[in-house]
Amino acid sequence: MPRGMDSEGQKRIGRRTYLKGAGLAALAGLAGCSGGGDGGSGDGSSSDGSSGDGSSDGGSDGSSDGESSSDGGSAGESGDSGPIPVGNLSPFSGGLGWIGPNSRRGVQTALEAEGGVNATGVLGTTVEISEQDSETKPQPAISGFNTLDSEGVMTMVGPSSSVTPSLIEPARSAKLSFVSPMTGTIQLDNVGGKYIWRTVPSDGIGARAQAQYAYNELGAESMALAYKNDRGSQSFSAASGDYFSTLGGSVKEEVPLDPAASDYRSEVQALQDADVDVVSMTAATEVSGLFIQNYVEAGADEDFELLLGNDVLTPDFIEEMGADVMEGMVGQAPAPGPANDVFVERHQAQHDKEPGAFAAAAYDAMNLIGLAFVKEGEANRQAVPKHLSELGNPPGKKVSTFAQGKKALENGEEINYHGAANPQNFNDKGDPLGPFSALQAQDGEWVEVKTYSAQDLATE
Amino acid sequence: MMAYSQLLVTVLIIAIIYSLLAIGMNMHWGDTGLLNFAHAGFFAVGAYTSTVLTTPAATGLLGDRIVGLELPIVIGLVAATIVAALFGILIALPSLRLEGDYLAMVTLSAAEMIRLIITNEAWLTAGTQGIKDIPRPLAGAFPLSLGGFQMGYNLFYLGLTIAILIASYALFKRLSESPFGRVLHAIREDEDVPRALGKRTPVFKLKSFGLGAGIAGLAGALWAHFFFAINPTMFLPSLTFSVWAAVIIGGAGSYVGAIVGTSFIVGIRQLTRFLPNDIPLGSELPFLRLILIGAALIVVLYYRPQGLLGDKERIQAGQAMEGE
Repeated sequence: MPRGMDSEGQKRIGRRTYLKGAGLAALAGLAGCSGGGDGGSGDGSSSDGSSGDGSSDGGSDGSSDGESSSDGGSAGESGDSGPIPVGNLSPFSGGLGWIGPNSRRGVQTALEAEGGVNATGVLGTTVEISEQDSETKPQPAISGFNTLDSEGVMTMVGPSSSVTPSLIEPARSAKLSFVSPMTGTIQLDNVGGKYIWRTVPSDGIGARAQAQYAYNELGAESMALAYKNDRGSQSFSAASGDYFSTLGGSVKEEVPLDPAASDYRSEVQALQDADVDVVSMTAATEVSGLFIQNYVEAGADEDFELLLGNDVLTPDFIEEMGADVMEGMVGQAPAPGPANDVFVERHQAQHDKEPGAFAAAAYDAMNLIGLAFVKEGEANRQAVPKHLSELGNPPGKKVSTFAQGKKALENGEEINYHGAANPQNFNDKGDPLGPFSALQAQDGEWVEVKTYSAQDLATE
Repeated sequence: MMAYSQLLVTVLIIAIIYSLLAIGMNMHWGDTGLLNFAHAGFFAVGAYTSTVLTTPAATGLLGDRIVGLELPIVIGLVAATIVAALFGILIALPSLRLEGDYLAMVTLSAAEMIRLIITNEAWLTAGTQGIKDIPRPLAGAFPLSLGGFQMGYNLFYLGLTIAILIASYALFKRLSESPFGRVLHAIREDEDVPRALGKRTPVFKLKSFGLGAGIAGLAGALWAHFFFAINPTMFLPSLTFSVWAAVIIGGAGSYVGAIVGTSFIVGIRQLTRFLPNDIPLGSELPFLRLILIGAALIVVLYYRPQGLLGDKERIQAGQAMEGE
């Protein structure tokens, strides 16, 4: 026994010493890397770009801005050699795993279809997509982000609301932008711009359309909020209630819907008891389906009207629930962008299926990224931060494909990209503003009953 | 080059924080033989305790969190450890009479309760919206210019976590080899024996649970202060299972094994990220990655059922039992 103990003791010291040694070695090695990193950004034009734009917005970036990372454009090779690396950091698995493939098809359509980025050619080469799975969770998203950073991508499409808040600081400190086609959360309303962009409108904007419809069209004075208990649905719901109050109505009750529940009878009862005119019910299809079943079953349609969220405004949903059940229900969705028809057609041709949710926004994101490279005249990390806003906003020639935009830019014209998801007119926080429609289920179809322009929905 | 070293640093930090979790789990399972499935819960308690203590209360549209103290981060880290340890003891108190599978069930549901409470009590935890803008310790001091080279923040945080890992490793290793640890090992092999020798085994089990939970809480706090934002979906039971996998691969009973096992899992998760998209079935890559990880686990366990660095004493004890 004592002998065994001894050798165990010796081993312990050995392991500990080894561990310390390994730690120190790792530190030293990394330090060496950091030391060498400075010389890497000898690319004249890219460092020029970052100093021009980099300081203008610096205040909000905080202290970590100057992290020892390399200057924007230096990673990877820029210029005409080799394809331009661009990332797609999307949820391909996890809670929002169904969105990733939609986004992938949208991006592919923007690249390969007629007039697309790779079909036309950008800076004499093509864009190569590197996909990373965010797994709908913050830590894998950060690992994915860092992986893309190390692969030298110039910018990326993605990610989703569930992980975006964790990527704000990393994006700023790595000076690596992202353009999200699927982040609606109002948590991003005041932090975007420069490195953080999205091509879908904030939930706050759609929610204003819903609140206006309830207050002005339905004449409702009181509202209750029911929402699937996740970040996105709650965010939309809160924004709707808030704007409804601003208009003069009152929000009387809030009922979270547990996505794992087997029925929502007690929630429907609570809403009936609240004695309100309308209920804003925001949830994805499964929860909405079950809720509506319980709503009809309880005869609650006598008590209040139901306003639905974006996710259920599909023909499939009406078919699944039954046209008579859905008759008269109202939801709202971004009015399709000016180039939507063209996009749908190309998507159909390429993938032999209708575009899924957020595909159009991913298409717009990729087109805008391609145009930003053309405008910059070089593929680097400053292209998106510097140019996205001017490419999307007036004044300029209206274009709706990459090929049109490239031609106009090469002729020295300004352009105003008109997208498939919406017009992609960005505010100074990197959020697009655009019109929303209220849609009503009539005879088994969603029919537009009212359209709110971007001005109607602007904050001030 | 630069970006690769940044990535390496981030991955190492993740590996180290998970290692702390695995060390706690090894105290429970490897040393004491307690089937603890509440680790994600302790991790969450630590993360939220430190976050709530160090951030301001949120206002605005979704800001219904009324608690927020803006205390120094050091206090957050210490409090996270203590509160998680208390939670560990609290969960263990009513459930320690249970053994094996029953304890596993109770702890698993306790972890889910913690997560659901965090999801629903928005006044304290911001609920499903999660908390963002979590401060980083000494963030203002970086990047530091040290002579020739720039020291970035991540490198500093790596140093900090390495120091904490070494300290925790030394402490737990020492505990495991102390008389206290020997009692834990005896409980693991046959609880009647230490009881016959006059040891109050429930107290030892409580201490073991508290210590392991405490270090998980510390890991949670380190996690929150590195990743800026937390939300309840980060603390699903799958996290607990990952830690279990790490402990089993590394070899139950070995603290070095816990660290090695964690590095293996984090490493393989990261390495599979470099698989190119254009391989056959490339569009199914996210799922292929997970399958690959699972296959690697099976291979390791097939060829080394005791884990990579399985504890000798533990294996011998087990064999002795079987021999009887």
